[in-house]
Amino acid sequence: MEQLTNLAGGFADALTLSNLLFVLIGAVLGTAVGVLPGLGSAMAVALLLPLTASLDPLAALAMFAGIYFGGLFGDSIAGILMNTPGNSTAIASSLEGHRMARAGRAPQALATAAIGAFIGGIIATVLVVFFAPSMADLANRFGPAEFFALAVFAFVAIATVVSDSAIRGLAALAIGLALAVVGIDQPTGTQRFTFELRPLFDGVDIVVITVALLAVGEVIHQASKVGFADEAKLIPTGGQPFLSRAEIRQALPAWLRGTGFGVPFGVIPAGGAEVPTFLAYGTERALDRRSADPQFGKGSIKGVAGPEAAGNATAGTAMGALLTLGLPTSATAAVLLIAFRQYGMQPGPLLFERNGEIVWALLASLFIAMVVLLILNLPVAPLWAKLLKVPKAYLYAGISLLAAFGVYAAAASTTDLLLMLGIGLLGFAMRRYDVPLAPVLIAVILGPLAEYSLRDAMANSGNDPAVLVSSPITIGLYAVLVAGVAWAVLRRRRAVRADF
Amino acid sequence: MSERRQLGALVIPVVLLAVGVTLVTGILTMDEAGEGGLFGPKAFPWVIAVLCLVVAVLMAVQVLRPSTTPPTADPGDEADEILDGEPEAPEGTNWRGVAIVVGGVLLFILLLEPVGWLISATLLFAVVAVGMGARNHVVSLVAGLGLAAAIQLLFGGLLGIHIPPGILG
Repeated sequence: MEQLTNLAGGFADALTLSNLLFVLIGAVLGTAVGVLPGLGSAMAVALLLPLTASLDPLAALAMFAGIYFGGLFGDSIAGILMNTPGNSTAIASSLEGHRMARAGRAPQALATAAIGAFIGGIIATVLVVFFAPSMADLANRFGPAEFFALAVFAFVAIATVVSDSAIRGLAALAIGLALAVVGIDQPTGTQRFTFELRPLFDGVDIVVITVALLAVGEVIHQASKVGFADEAKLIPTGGQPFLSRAEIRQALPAWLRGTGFGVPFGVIPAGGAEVPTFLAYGTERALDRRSADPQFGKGSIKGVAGPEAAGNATAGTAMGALLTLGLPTSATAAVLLIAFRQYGMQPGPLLFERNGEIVWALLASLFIAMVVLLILNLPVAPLWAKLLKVPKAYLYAGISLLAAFGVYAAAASTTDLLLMLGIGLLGFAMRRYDVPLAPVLIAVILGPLAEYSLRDAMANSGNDPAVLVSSPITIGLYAVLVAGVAWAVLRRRRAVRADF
Repeated sequence: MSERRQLGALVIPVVLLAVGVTLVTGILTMDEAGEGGLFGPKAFPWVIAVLCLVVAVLMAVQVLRPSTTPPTADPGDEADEILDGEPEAPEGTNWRGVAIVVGGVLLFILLLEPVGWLISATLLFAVVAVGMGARNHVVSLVAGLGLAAAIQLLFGGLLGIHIPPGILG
């Protein structure tokens, strides 16, 4: 059990006062952005990226880990109390959660959500600890053809399987890929799409893209809705969130089933936790219909427990895919990957060899973050809802200030600020017309990997395309991809038929 | 959803078209350095350009075709209920707010290097706040000045990030 020794070493590194402080800051920030509708952990990490460049890498990554999971802890609070889920990942758990709140069981709903998020996250992270080294070993055998297959897998999965409309997903993917090819072509030194502008020689800075899409786009989008959004009402909660033994017995199987849905989805580039949370919700509803006393519609504790556990389990294994394969499976994971690069580390098979110490310390920090988040969320969940009273105007004004500062601080370039505004406007248009943002980020990150591994594979084999499907790993990846697309098509067909 | 808003959705295909055309002209005028082989620096951009153009056409068709198909698929009937409760697709758009926010960012970009961080950031905060519906300009300016100064002290002072001092330096 080499993993346990490594993890113990990680805890030794992670349990320093300053590191704990950064985990706490991350957990507080993460919960806060989770609670506030429109803000998410991806945006929070993106805004902090340029500002933390000079921090100790472990401290910054531990803080980001707190934000990463904190977003998923916080997003259900507003959903349960006000029926305004902080993020799309909380829609599923808010359905029954808000009904519980209306029936006077808000504390129980909040507790079920927090404990569910904790269980899902812990189980998934334990799995990552045990399987990460063997995943990394497998990934060590990846050559150019395998990396190309992995990138194609990610592109197709994120664009078509997840978004409601494959065309919109592909639109986002195309925009991301186009942004990724700007700059000097590494193998040949050819200038591509730089328009002879010096700031573009190194390509469009990925930090500029993320901040612009996630923060600036959201600020403009919010401005476009001022005066048209209606106010949601906060349901007051009495008493401390707690669960009786009978309620725990009800919720426990749902927590575990939800975790079961979340775990596999973390390693599939499916854009995050929306799909597994709804699968968990659907399963609990189907099971509930068969029971003697159906609770769904009246505020079912299982309807909260399943999706919440699924959401954090997805986040947990997504971290595994990120660390071992260098594969970001959601927007937040994509931003985390950029954070690793900022500190000169490349997530992927070699990360455990080259930066083993810091990776194990980060994994230990994940466990610490989860405990901190449970403590932060259980007793004081209703307090967090008070955040919703912060005047929106100042909140978003502050976000635009941080965005502008971060983008300028990264390279002291006004061109970057203009790019930020342009891409921010694009982000606004995409939000307005329901084009998903995650495919853009995944494409920007994996685009160069896809291109260079394809060119390597072709150059090494004398332009023999058969090399792309010549190993069990590549064949396996493409097979899973075809199965996934078939499943998505079937699911969509069924959904359309159900509408008639 | 109003007729005009649906036509507005054409903005995405138009962007894709522009990106595709930019890629194609860029590829055609590219100075290829060295021997690229079959898969040189142009191959991948060609694939992306074609993808952009094809998706642009498909999306435009989808927008312009009278909508006979039901709107986006669902994760379940009840999910729609909760989404309807949210101001997800408001009937109106506050273009004034959008213009003020975008103008504020532009102003910031123009002012940052000549005038310095403190003044331009304070203005950015205040202008965005106005765009987002804040009424009290004095409060906006003071809050903006406070945040701008805090950022300067924290990140410029402690972490040593370069901040343009401008006329106050």
